[in-house]
Amino acid sequence: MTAATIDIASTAPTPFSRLVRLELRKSYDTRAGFWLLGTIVLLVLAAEIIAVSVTAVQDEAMQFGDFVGTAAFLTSFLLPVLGIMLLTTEWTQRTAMVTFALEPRRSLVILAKAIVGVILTLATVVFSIAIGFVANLVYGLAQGGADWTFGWKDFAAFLITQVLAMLGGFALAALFLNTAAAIVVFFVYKWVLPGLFAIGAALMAWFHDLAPWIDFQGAQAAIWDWSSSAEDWAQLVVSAVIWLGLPLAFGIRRVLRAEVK
Amino acid sequence: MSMNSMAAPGLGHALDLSGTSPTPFSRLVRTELRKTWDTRAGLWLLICTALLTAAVMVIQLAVVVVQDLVVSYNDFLTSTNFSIGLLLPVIGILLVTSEWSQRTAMVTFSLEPHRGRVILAKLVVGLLLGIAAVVIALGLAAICNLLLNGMSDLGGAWDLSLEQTAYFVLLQEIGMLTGFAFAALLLNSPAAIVLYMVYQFVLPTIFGIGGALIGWFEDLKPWIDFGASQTPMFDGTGMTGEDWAHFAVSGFIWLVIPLVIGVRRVLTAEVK
Repeated sequence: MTAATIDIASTAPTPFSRLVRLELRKSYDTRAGFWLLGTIVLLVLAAEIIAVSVTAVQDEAMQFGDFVGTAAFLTSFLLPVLGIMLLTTEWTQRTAMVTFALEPRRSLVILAKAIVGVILTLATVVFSIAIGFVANLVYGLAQGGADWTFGWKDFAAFLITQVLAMLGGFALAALFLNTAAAIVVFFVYKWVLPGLFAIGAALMAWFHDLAPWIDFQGAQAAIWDWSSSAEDWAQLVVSAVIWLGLPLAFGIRRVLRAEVK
Repeated sequence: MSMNSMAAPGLGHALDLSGTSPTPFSRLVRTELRKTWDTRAGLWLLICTALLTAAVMVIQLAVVVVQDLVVSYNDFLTSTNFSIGLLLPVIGILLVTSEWSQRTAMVTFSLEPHRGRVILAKLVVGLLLGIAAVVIALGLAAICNLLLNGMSDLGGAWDLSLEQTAYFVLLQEIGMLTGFAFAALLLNSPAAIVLYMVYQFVLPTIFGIGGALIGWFEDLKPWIDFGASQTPMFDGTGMTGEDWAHFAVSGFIWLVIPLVIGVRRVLTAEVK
């Protein structure tokens, strides 16, 4: 009896573009994913409507950039949740088994997911700007003239910080592989830690000197200011290594080696 | 309970349930309590809460001793508002949502179809865990204050009062209940956790901006800001009559309404 063989010589490996397309579809074709994206859109819409009506009634001077900033504030805490769930749902919904069976080169899958995260971030940025445009148009009609000042510097800073926020969530997700834990740690790191750092810095002189080097959120101010100080950028790099680089490295290592159950 | 239960229907046999007593409520509470710590996720959540609480206090003690700051028993206790206050609501959320995300609701509600009793048992467990967390916090604060008295001549006053302790219990239980209510409303762990975190950390900022921009909102804010209405309970000023009114009205919005809608949802939801 001759040994049976399966000839896969003519089977091409899964192209990377297909992985990215696939992961992109997986981000919105379940109810949870769809509603997460839907919630972001609805929240941004609601906030812009409130912002327009309040500022128009109160005669507050608003610029195009301010409306975009409102949208940016809201998306900055929901986008990372999207980044987290891109990765953790594979483990909580047990789809990792299928995913890694169909594409055993796990690093390609992780990379595809990270790219999808960035694509979705760019999409929300475009959406935020479009909504900001409409909001400013309405505000201009109500007030008899709109201020179309929109700093391209702010736009670039907005883009970079949003991508960093998304990757921050992604890194924590890879580290914990558990939706609840990753979300809690993310909110602590984004909303609680800056306050604790401020208290620590006020109390202790040595910590006051150390804090800027470990406070990733605070260090991102350098991006908004386009700081000319080399020290600001060094602080950004150091704190990014701590809060983004290390979790990402440990997390990816974990995903690459974890037993899929 | 005899061989009859094995028989096919229509053969003249009956399933006699008259001697089977209904599941007592105490057993439901015991079961739900065990379910909080006998999975890996549950166990580690409880351990993380305790460790975080201890870590925050140790850091506080170290800073206080090195910097010669004057703190008291109550200051140690207040710092646990951060650690316990952060994770206790997550415990409350997972009590409810894990039934749906891990699909155990099917078994739970098959064995006890009176869903109202199961929810009540979970609520009792949540409150018990809240009490346990308070006892741990009081104990840790006492240890830290004792150590402070041994290591430094400054501070370390034993300024605990019954009123302060009662406020502390109330604060922690409200945190737990809010998490529980959000969980029942959404029946989804990530959504409930995100909603709680936004409510806890992001909403105060938005309320602040709204109050600064709009005059009438500044007057309305105390009546809808549940978090701010609890501040007098731990900042030492004590609750006045108006504070209690703010607390009741905002609590109705953020706690009672989600809880009522959520419980109704759990009672009628299709279990899949």
